[in-house]
Amino acid sequence: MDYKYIEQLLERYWDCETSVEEERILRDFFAQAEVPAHLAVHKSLFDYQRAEATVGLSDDFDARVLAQVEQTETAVRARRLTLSRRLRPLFRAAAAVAIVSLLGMAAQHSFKRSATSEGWDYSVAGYSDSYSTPQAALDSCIKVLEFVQDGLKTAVVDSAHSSKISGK
Amino acid sequence: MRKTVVLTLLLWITAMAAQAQREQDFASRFMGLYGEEAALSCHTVSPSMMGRIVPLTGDSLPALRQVLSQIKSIRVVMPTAETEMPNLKDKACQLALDNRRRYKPYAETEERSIYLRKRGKYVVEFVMIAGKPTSGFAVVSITGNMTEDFFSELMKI
Repeated sequence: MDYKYIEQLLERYWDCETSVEEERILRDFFAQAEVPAHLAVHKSLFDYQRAEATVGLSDDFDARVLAQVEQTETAVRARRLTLSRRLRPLFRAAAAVAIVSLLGMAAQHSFKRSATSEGWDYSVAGYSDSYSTPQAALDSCIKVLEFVQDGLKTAVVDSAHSSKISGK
Repeated sequence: MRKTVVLTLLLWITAMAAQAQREQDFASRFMGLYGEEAALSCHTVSPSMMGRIVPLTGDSLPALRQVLSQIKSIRVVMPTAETEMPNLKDKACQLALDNRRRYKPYAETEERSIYLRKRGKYVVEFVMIAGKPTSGFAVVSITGNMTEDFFSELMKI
């Protein structure tokens, strides 16, 4: 038997040039129980195609799908949202803005303070007097200032900063 | 959500506390570190007392009045007893050295080290650490808004 025609059809089949009718011829040919040995390698492919063509939905498919749909519908329940829960995104946004603003202000304050501030910056609350009367405090101040004056005079002799201290 | 609110409050409180935190002068810092272990006493003239002192000077001592008007507070730290206090001067100088960005050395002799803290055009703290290695120790911490002429006026007293 001459299988030239089948071989030509196969070649065209691999090149995707066969018509529907020609593909039917091929399927019929390979549906035979006996095929030539050199064409047998292609038989499994056509057998597989034929077998897959018979696959369909089972009889109970619709029933199973409908059952699953009903089950899903019963699982979804409406929930009542409280006011605080509804406003939660707003709270979160406000908290985020507050954090960013605070950090920004702190950084700005810190930079400004170090760059531009001047003058006395000690806490008045941190001082408690050792002297009960202004006169006693004044006497003590004068003694301390004399002590400091003496120290400065000595320092003037030895220090390179003498001109600064003496104000010249 | 609760965590966010707590974190925000914490940050806010921290920021407020940081702002409320004011500076501490050298003498009180030194007392805080070594006051108890070395038996030291601290004599303080507060800013409010300084305000009451200035009118007492009258017009007879203009240099003193000029000097006192620039001072806000005076603290003197001394040992409570005439016992040997080794290393106190070294410790005080080390404290100044540890805070070298704050206290700049101004003058130094064998027995005295002077440091200044400046803010802008003002000297806001004058620190004199006096004493020999084992005796005569004292720390004088004068705060205020002191200008350069403060020192020249001080020399006239």
